Amino acid sequence: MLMFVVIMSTGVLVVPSITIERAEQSAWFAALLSLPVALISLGLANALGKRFPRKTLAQYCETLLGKYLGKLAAFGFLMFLFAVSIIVTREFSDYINIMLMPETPIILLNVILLVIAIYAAVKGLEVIARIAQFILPLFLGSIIIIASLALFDAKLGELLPFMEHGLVPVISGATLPATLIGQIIIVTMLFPMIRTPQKVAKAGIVALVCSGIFLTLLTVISIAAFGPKLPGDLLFPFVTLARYIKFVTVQRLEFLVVFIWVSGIVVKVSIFLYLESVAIMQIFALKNKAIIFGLLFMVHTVLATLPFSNPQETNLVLTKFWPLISFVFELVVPAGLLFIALLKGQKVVLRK
Amino acid sequence: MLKELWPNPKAQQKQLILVSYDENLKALRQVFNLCSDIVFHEFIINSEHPLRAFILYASPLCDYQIICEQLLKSVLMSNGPKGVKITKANAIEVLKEKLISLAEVVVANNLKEIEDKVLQGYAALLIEGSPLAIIVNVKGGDKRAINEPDSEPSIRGPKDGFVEDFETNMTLIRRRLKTSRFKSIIMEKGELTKTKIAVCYMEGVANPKVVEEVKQRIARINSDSILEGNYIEEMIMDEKFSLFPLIQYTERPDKACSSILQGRVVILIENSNMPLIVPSTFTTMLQAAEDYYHNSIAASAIRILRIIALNLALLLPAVTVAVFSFHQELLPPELISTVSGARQGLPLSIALEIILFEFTFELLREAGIRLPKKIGEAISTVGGLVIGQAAVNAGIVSPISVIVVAITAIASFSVPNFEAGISLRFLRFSLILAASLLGGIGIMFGLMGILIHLCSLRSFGVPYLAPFAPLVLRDLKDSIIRAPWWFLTTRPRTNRALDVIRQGDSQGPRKPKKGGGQS
Repeated sequence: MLMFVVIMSTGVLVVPSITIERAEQSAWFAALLSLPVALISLGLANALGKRFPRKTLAQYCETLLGKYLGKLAAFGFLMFLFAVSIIVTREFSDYINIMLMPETPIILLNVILLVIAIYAAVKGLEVIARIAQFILPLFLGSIIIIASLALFDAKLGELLPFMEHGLVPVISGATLPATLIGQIIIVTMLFPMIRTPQKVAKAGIVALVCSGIFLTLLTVISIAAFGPKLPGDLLFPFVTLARYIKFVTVQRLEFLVVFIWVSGIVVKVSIFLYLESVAIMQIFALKNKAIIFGLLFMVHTVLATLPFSNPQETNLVLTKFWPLISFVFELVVPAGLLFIALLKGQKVVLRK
Repeated sequence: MLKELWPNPKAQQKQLILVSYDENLKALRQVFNLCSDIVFHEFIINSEHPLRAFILYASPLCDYQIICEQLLKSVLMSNGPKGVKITKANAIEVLKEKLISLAEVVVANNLKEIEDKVLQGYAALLIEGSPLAIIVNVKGGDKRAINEPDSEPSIRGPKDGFVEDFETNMTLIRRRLKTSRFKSIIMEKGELTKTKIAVCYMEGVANPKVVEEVKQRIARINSDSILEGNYIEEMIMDEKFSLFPLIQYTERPDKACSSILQGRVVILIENSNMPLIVPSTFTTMLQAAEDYYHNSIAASAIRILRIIALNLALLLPAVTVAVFSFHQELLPPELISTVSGARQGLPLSIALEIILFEFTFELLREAGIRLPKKIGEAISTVGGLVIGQAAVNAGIVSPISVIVVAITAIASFSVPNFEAGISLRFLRFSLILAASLLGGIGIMFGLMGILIHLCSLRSFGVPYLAPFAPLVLRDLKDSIIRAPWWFLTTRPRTNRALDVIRQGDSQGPRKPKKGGGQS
């Protein structure tokens, strides 16, 4: 459930735009295509987790790769976490900046978001999970309301012809959603804290399939409502969709999107911050939480504000470099670790 | 330790009663020196050799009639039971076992115990030549009659409310729970007030861990005085600071009993008419005892109404500020012209207007509470009608903000828990500020902050947002809605109850078989 919120929150806004740009009317298939990739990722995470039920990824890197190489790999993974949370923070502020508060400086939005997320992260995993649990019904409700109201404007004919330009654009469109829902790999960090590790695989699959289906659905609706070209040019097609809805007196539903977006992002950023703090504690053997969170706060504020000067650049990073980096850490690194673990003959351990 | 802070003038705490009558009298007079309300009454007991004796009691706490007609009469007027001679050696025993016709008679052997008991409303009887004292219960004195609970009135349901007297409160609970499984453990806290605190629970229903936790937390208290529930409430809470009430209180015995029956623990405090209930969750703030006395559909609808009221009380002013100052595009076109017309030429921004009016309203409310009822009404007339009307007519504020503040006020009164109302007021102001700085996003951030705070709270180990987060499906039947009684077969799991089965299944109304029913 937690993972569902984590994935959907970013997915909702960006995915339709980028996938549709590449794959045009077949984009919904691209969104669906991303699902198996993420499932592989989950499978790897689960296999690793079963072998090291009491350790996080950062810890068993060292067991498998030796002290220095292991630390390096774990550090790389930490950087990946950093990259995700920083990009998410930035995306969020961009969105708010463009859609709602054009005069508010981005750094202010970043700071407020981070303060709230760190507040949750300090409170720990249990609190974050409960927040996710609390907002999930509201979250789903909002998406369903918007999607169903948008159906009035949808023209299913826009979805044809299927795969006009062959399979290549579809696959290239699938990369981003795949990396997004592939973020499920972070369960490797969560394994030791989960009370019932046997259920991880099941819950993960449910979360992934639901996210995949919802992403597909949203893409379908975006295309059906706006046609194959327009959503690709819009930065956030889903918001435009919500704004576009006019059903009797119900109109201007962006506030629902803002609701989904803010709540989801807070959960997402806080879980990443939490994982980062855990990883830092384990890699550098630090104890003082205040210092770690202070550092995290500063790093995020600076890095989410400075490097990108406008949302186009953020989107560029997302489309050009991001899939590659993500695939390395979501598929290649875990696969490599699992391979080494198998070579070393690490058995599946049943946790009592 | 407190004892070091306020050293007790009596060096020997457990000074034994002496054989010498005069020494005892002197020692006790010393203890109660300058206590004008302590009565020493010396007399002589009829026997072969007249025995000197005295009784000692705190006059404000005792019933004179009991002292005169039962205690003194039985000691003074009789010549002793037949065939038994009262002597120095057997006086205490004979009096205790054969003469005094009162319910609670015990024997004490030290001055400290006499002192404690006398201050609780007992009378102590000391007799020449014996190193023991008889202590009898002669409690009395004035107490408030049982009234309808002021703070939680109801239309249907019992009209008795807790009072300040400890025994009366215990009576009100015991009358409803006629089982030996209902336990009450009494502790005494407060160095100077010696307040009795009773931990009441249902054995086999309440979780022993919770009960133990409650006892331990109360045992930890080391304070000079406990005058009201909040004295201990803030010391036994899970969090040092919390915006929301983590411990519930009630003035209604029926509510206290239903809590005990759900597996919760009720803490009864002497001289307080508001027992505490733990653990308590967010949903209990929105429940009133009456919910269980009305038709379940109506009760569910009322609960939903309260949730809407809660949201209005929390959000309405903030949303108004956000919409008017940041997102005018959200208003329908027809409304925007009306509103902008009404706001033409006003000196203050909408945020300032609303803050100003909310502030005025809080002032009025506070003034109304502190004043006698009659004057309070005058205040609300002047405040509500005159100031509101005049401010609009004078062109200082727009009618919109007056309407918003008024609706908010009404909504905030429909939240049953007063304590929750206070935290709502505080959060409302914070959200107005957030909205005036960042608009809708500010509100969202504020709400997320509140949510994180709520999620992190626990009340005696129970997550505050249960049964929503963590989700307990079976408990949802008594949360936002109130399912019919025949459906409430299990006690809420969130209280960590031991025995969750409340009643048998399928006790719902059944239609009589065709032809089988009486006409």
